[in-house]
Amino acid sequence: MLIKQIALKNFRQYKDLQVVQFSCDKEKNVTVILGDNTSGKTTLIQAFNWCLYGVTSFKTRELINSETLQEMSIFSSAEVSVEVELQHEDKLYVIRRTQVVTKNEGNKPSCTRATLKVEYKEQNGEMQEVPTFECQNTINKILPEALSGYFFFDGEHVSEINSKGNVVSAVRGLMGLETISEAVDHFSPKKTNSVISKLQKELDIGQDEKSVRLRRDLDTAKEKLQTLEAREAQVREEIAYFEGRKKELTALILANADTKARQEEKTRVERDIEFLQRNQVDVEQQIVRDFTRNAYKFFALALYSKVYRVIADAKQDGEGIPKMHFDSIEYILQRGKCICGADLTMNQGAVNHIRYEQSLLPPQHIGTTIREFRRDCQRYETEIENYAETIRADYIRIRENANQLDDKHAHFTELSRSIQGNIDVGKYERDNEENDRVLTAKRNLLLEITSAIGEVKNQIQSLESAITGLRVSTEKNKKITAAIAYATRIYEWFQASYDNSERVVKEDLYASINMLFSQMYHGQRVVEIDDNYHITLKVDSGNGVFVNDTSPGLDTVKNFAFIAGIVDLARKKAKAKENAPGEIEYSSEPYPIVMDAPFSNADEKHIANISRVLPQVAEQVILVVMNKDWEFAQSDMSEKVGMIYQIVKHSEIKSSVRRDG
Amino acid sequence: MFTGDIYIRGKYATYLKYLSQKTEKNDHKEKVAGVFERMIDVYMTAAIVGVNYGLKREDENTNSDTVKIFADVVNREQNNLISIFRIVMLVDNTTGLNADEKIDRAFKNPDTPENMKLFNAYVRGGIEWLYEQFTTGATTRDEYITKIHEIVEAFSEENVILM
Repeated sequence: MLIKQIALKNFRQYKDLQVVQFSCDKEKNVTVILGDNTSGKTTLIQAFNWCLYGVTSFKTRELINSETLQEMSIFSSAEVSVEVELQHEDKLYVIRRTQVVTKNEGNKPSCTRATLKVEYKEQNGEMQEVPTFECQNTINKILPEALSGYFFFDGEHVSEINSKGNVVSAVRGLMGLETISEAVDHFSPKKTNSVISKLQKELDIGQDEKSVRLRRDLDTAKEKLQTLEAREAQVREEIAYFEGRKKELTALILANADTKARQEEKTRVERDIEFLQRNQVDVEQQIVRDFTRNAYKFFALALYSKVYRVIADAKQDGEGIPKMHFDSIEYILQRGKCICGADLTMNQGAVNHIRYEQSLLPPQHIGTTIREFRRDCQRYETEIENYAETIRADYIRIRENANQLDDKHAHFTELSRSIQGNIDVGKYERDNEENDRVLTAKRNLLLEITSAIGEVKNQIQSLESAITGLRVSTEKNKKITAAIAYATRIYEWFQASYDNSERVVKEDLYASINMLFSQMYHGQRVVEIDDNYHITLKVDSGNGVFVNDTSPGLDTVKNFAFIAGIVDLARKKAKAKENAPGEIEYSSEPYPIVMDAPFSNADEKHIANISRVLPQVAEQVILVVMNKDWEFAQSDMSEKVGMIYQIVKHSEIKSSVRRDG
Repeated sequence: MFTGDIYIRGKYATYLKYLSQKTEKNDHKEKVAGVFERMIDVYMTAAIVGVNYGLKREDENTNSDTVKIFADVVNREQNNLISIFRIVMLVDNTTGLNADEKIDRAFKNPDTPENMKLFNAYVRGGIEWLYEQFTTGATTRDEYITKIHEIVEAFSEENVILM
């Protein structure tokens, strides 16, 4: 960036339009603006800041020239503007900030919000306006506001330059390290919102193990399904077989319904025959029993009359005392005493009677026995009265039973003959029942298998969807992991580049500052630069140990050396980039130094030194300096001066810039 | 009398066993008519039948077959056996006895070898008659049973007038 010119209109002391052009010559790169105190030197620097960043250190908002304001009629308006023309990256920019001031009653001014306009020149020479919302951004791209203090500075405050807080970012920005530093931060895994951290948050940790388990489960389920489906097919075949068999058997049973009826009847007849056969044995046994029991009585049928006749023909001598035995009477006679108590020894007549009675008794007399025998025979006759009837009845039963048996046998034979050659329907029916039982069992089994298949299919579906879900996350993980790897590589690359660059920058800066310092300072002190780019002056205590040492004058020199070092470094970088466009390089634009009262607190020797060094290190030097200070600087700088201006103070409220020489 | 075992031998023993179910029960392989329950039943009926038809057969020994009716069975039927014996003794006319003599034989002095010989001769005759009756034209159980009916019917018809 090189500043071509600045045009001020009604800006503070500078009434109407004041244009100051700056030397852009490579050799005579110094523009000197001379002015006395309160002539408006600082206002010039402020004009740069206002134009570029809209800020000033003035206490009032209105920037209008007091004289102009006075001349304005009431309720009229006037423009205050500063326009900076600058060259940046080979492009000409025209930056203009304008404030409209209206004069109110009682001469009080009111102002509008300043408007910014940025134009740049196209390659075809036409001016192109930057959209309003992009204007400030464009300026910051050219020279960040944060860095502006190093380039537009007030010499009275130069001592603060190296102690400002954000030296690090300032240096980085200036050296073009800011971008890569931001890039490093953007990728750094240590930063919460970095690319890598965000990617790592995206990772689904622990999903891989789950995926393996799910796949294993899926394989198991698929194997199970396969087994079940094979079993299902088998059972279906079996069912088909048993259904076919059922049809066959049903058809056979229907076709042989008659046979079945006959077979049932045959079974009944068989049972009847069994019964009749048992009954036959019983009735036969009955006739034998009945025949046997009174057979001798029956066959004596013709004999009873003969027996009675013989008994009747025999001489019967009276009847003995029933149930009395011969021996009983003999006992009574022997004891000589009757059962009535009478003495028999003295009564022969009684004994004779008794002897007679005794003779009628068995065994000596058989009358009684015969009578008993005859009664037995009569009883026999009575007992056999129904003998023949009984036998006849028994026999009829036998015959009936036998006839029935014959009938049944005949029927059985007939049935057997009709059934002969036919199949056993009962067996078919039993087969059919068994077939039905198996068929039911198989159908139930099929149901079980089918429902099991359904379950396994559901399981497989849910496993597959779970796996698909995981695959998405797994693939996402893969992508993220790859992205992290890339990001890490980029991070490392950036970091290495940055570290290297920063090291180079620091070394260069350190060398540059020390070199510049030694050129500016005529003592034995050395400059040290720490990680935060803070520099300290050290002095050899005499035995090789350096200690801190400072003074306001030395600080001025030190800070100039720092600024010069930075600018020098930036310029070197720019050159390096131009020389090696193919290499990765950080953009760094040459910058001007615009200084207001730079030599305050510096002694003559240092002013001379600074004046010699600054034009060497900066592309463009704009010095706003008091006449008296210029005298010390002039001899060392005059060769470099391309333009020189004098600020002419017309009054306290009006100055103008006049070009000298 | 009729207190000990009764022995029968020869063909009458064979016949007796053939007619009795007892034999059938003892040896199922032997083919018999089995129309009387026990052997003692055959013995008692045979005595009556023998005297009824005047059939006396001497003891004989043409085969070695024997039958022994045990004393306990005999004792249980003693009263009936005595009655049968008396009927036989009273009805038999083969020895030319008058009624009083028959009474004495039947009642006063029954237990003589002579009397028993006579009695058993009628028994053998009766056994033979029964055997012939039951085996003529009968070879099956059914036929033997039918014979019971036929014999009873025939005997009833023979004696209807008598009754």
